[in-house]
Amino acid sequence: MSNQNMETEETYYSNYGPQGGLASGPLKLKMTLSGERVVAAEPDVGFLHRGIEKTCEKLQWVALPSLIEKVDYLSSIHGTLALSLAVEKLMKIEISPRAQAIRLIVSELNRIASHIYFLTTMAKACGAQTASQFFLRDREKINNLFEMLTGARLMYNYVCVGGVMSDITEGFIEKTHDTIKYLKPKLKEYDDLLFNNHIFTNRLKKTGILKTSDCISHYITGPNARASGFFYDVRALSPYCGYEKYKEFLERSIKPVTQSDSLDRLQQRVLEIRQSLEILSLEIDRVPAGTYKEKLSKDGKVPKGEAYSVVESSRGLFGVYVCSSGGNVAERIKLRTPSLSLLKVVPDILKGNEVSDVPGVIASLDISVSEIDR
Amino acid sequence: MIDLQEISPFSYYISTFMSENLHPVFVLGVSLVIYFIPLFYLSVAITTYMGRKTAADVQMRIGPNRVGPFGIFQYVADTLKLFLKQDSVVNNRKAWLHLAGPVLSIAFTLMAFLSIPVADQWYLANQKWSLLHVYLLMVAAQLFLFFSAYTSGNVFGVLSSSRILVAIAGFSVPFLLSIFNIILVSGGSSFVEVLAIQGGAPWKWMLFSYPTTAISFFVMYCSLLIWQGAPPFDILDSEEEIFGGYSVEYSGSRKWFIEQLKSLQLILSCYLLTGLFLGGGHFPFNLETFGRGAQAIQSLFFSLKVFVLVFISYWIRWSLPRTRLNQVIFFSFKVLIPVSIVGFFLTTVWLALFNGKGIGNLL
Repeated sequence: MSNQNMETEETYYSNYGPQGGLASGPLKLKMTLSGERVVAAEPDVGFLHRGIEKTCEKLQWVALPSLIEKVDYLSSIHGTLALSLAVEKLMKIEISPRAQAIRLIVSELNRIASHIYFLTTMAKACGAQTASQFFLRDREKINNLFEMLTGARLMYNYVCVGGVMSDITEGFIEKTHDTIKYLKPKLKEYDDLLFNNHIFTNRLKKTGILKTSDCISHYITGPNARASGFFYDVRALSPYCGYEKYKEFLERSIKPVTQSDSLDRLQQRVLEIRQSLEILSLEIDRVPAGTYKEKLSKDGKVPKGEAYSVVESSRGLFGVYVCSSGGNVAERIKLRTPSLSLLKVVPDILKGNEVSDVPGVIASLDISVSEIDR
Repeated sequence: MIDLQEISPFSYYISTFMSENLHPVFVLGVSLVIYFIPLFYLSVAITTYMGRKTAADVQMRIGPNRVGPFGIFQYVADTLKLFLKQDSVVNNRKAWLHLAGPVLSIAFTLMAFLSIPVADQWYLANQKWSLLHVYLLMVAAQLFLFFSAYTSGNVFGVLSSSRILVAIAGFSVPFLLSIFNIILVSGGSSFVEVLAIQGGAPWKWMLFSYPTTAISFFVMYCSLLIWQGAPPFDILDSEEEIFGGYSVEYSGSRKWFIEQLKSLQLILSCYLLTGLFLGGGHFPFNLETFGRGAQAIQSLFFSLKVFVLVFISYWIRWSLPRTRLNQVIFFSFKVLIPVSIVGFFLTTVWLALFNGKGIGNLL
C-alpha cells in the first residue's frame, strides 16, 4: 500500500491499536509512516464482533430490543427505536401520540448524552484531561434522568414494539426542565473550554478534511456529513415519531460550512446539543395524555413480510431491516450502521496528517466500533 | 589533602558536627546521603501528592484519600506495589541502555541539583560555571532517555526518541539565552554569584530587580516546560498519540523510576527558577540569632518557594491541552528565541544607561 512512496522516502509500518484511546472501542489502524507523517492508514475492524445480527434470528421478537441496543451502546435508544419502527410497520400498529412524544424525548436526550461523550473523547484525544472530566460531569445529569425514567444508566431497554416500556415517572418532566436549565449555560462553558482555547483550535484546524463529495459517494450521514455541508438528517428528510414539527427548525439551524475539518465536526456536535436542547424544551411540555403502549397480541407473533426503517442516531442514519416468516422468531435482521461508511474514508482523511493528529481526527469522526462490528 | 570548604561547602557544614579525624571522602559520602535522601524520596513524594491533589481539585474530584490520613501514604503504597511487580522485559530487548536508561537519567538529573545552593553555603559542589554545568547535565539526562527510548525496540519508543531530540533543540536555545541574560546582569556564572546579588525581600529578587529579567523568567519557564515534556508540551510521552512514548516498554520498578524522573525534572525546574529568579534561600529577616540553624530555616524557605512553583506548574499542567510537535518548535524558535533576544538587547541598554544598577538600587 506504500509502494508508490517506497522509492522516494523511507517508510515504516506500525499498528495503531486496537487497544488505546483512539475511538470508543477497539479500532486498529495499520499505518505506514514516514517519520511523523502518515503515508497510508488502513482500518482493521472485527475485534468487537458479537454476532448480534445472527443471534437475533434465534431470539423471540420481544427479546430483540435488549440485544439491538448493544449495537451502539452510546446511543442505544436509537437502535431500539429503529427496530420498533420496522416491526410496527410489519404489524401495522399506530403508536399513540403520548408514546411518540416520549420516544422523541428519550431519543433527543440520548443524542445529547452521546454528543457530550464525544466531546469527552475529543478532549482526551487532544490531551485536555480536565476538560473531558467537565463534560463527563454534565453527561451524568442525563444519565440520572434516564435512571429515573428507565432504571438504567446506559442500556435502557426502554423503547419497545408498540410504544415504550413504562410511562413517564413522577417528577421526570420537572427534572428534565431542571437539566435543560442546567445544560444551556454549560454550553457557554464548552465554548470557553474548546473554541476559545487557542491550543485546542490550532491543533484541530485543517486536520482530517472530509470533502462533501466523499460524504455523498460513501453515503456518510449524521453530524460528520452535516459538518461537511451534506445536509442529511433523517429527522428532517423522513420524519418519524413527531419530528415533523421540528423539520423547519432543523433545516433552518444549519451551520455554515467552512473547512470541513476536525474543528468543524466538533462545532457541529456542540450545535446539535444546542438544537436537541431546544427540541427537548419544546417537546417536554407537549406530552399528550393517552396510553404509552399499545396492546399487542399475547402470542408474540409478527406477520409475514419485510420492512425497513431508519432513524437519525447520534452518528447518522441507523437502519434496521427486518424479515419475518410469521412466527415468534425473526427470519432475518440486517442493520445499517452509520460508522461503517466512515471507515471507508479514514485512509484518505488520515493521509498526509501527522501522527499527533491521528487521535484527534479519529475522535472527531466519532466512530463507534461496537456498531461497526456488531 | 582535600579541602572540604573549597570543593563542597555543604560537606564542610556537615563535618562541623562530626569528629575531626574522619576522612573527607567519608564526610562527602555522608553529606551526599543526607542531601539526596530527602530530595530523592521525600520531595518527590510531596510533589506527587501535590500533583494528584491539584489534579483532583482542578477536575473537581477528591483525589487520594485512602492510604494514611488524607491519602498521604498513597505514594508509599504505589512504590511498594510497583517494586513488587514483575519487571517484564521481552527477550529481544536486552539492550543495556534501554534497561539502565531511567536510572542513568535520574542520576544525571540528581547531579544537576549538586551545585544549586538551597541556603548559605548549602551546596554540594562548588563549581565556577555551575549554570552551564546544570544545562549540560539536563541535556545528558534527556539523552539517556533518548537512548533508552531508541533501544526499546518499539515504534512508539523510537518516535518518542526523535521527539526527545526535537525537545532538546527546542529547549536549549531559549534556555541558554535566558541564562546569558542572567550572567550579563549578575556578572557571575555560578549560582552562588547569581544569588549574591539577590536579597530576601521580593523587590531584591532577580525577577523584579531588573525590568528585563521577567522576560528571562518567562522564557526559562517555557523552555523548562519543553525540557520536561510537561503539558502543554507533553509530546514526549503523550498517552493518546504515541502510547506513552519512551515509557511504553517499562513496567514494575522501572516504571516507578520513570515516574520518579518526571517528578525530579519538575523539582529541578522549580529549583532553578527559585535559585535564579526568586532569591533562593535568602530570608527577608536577619537570622543571626539562630546560629547554625539559620541555614535550615533558609532551606525550608527555599523549599516553600519551590513547592509554590510546583503547585503553579501542576495548575498549568492540568489546565491546558497538548500542542503538536511542530507547534512546540514554532513556539520555541519563533516566539521564545526572538523574545529572549529582545530581552537580551534591552538588558544591555539598561545596564549601559544605569551603570549596571537594578531597580532596587536606583529607588
